[in-house]
Amino acid sequence: MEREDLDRLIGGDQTAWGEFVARFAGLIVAAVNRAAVGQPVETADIVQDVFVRLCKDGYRLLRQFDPDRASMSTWLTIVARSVAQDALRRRRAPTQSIDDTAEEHLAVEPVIPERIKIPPGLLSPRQQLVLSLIYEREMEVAEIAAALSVDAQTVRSTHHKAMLKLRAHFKEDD
Amino acid sequence: MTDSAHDADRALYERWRKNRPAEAVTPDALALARYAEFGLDEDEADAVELALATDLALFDDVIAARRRSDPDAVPEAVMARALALVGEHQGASIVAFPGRRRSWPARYRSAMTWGALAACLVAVSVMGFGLGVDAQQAIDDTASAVPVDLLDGSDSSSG
Repeated sequence: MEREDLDRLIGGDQTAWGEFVARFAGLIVAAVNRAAVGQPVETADIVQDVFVRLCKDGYRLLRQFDPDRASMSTWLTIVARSVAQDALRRRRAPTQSIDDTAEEHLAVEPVIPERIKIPPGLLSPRQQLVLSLIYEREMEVAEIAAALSVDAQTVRSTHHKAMLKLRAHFKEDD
Repeated sequence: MTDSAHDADRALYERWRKNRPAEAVTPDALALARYAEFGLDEDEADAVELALATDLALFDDVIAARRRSDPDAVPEAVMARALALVGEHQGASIVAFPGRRRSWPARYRSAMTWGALAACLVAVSVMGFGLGVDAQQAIDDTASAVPVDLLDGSDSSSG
């Protein structure tokens, strides 16, 4: 999107808004559909939520976008997914009756959390991300490499160095 | 890596995860978009990756944005609702509702309530009394119009 078009849009130009909706509605619908896949929600309402957020408070959210730094499609996909996830979180049941909770999930013995001081920066952000993807997402090295646009050996090396740091740290602590 | 080595590493990771310092700041959508397009320098990318490591939903957002899947069909109703957000209310003047009148203090409101109730009771009583008097009057008038012999309990049929 050109800056001139963006300026018309946030200036409240109705024609500009119509052009914007016509151009990006499909992308927003796709992003919401994929974010909400399998969830019992009305995606049309979430799509409307996205458009409302874009134009409310004098187009406050749209004013945060900079066409010189990222493309509108990428930015809108992220915004739409964020709105969808907020909506999904709101719709999730906040509580569960204690009678419906399995006994093993009820606290019957006090659990004393382990208190270990871990200095900030022990692991680099990239190391933390690789470990999260391996152990929380169960992603394969090749998948992670593709996602991070690096080669598989780099991912293995990152993982290895991170584990060395953790072993050294916890060995000192133990 | 053997399964047992992997499990040991996983356990170590979990220990770290439960105790890791809170360093991440949630990036805004523009930072995430720039990261998705590889438009950040190393320091900026580090800050985003720290957030992604803590909240993998943000990582999913980045991957989805990179994939740039084909747009879906937009139902007409969805399009109409979105278009209606701008333009329909352009230039409309906002009319404020008149402010609420200051309400009476509580003790006056209570007195007025009870007074109104008492007045209702008096009014009903007066109306009832009036209706009762009218009814009695009507009965008296009817009684005086009826022949006396009908009211006489003596037996006139004999003889």
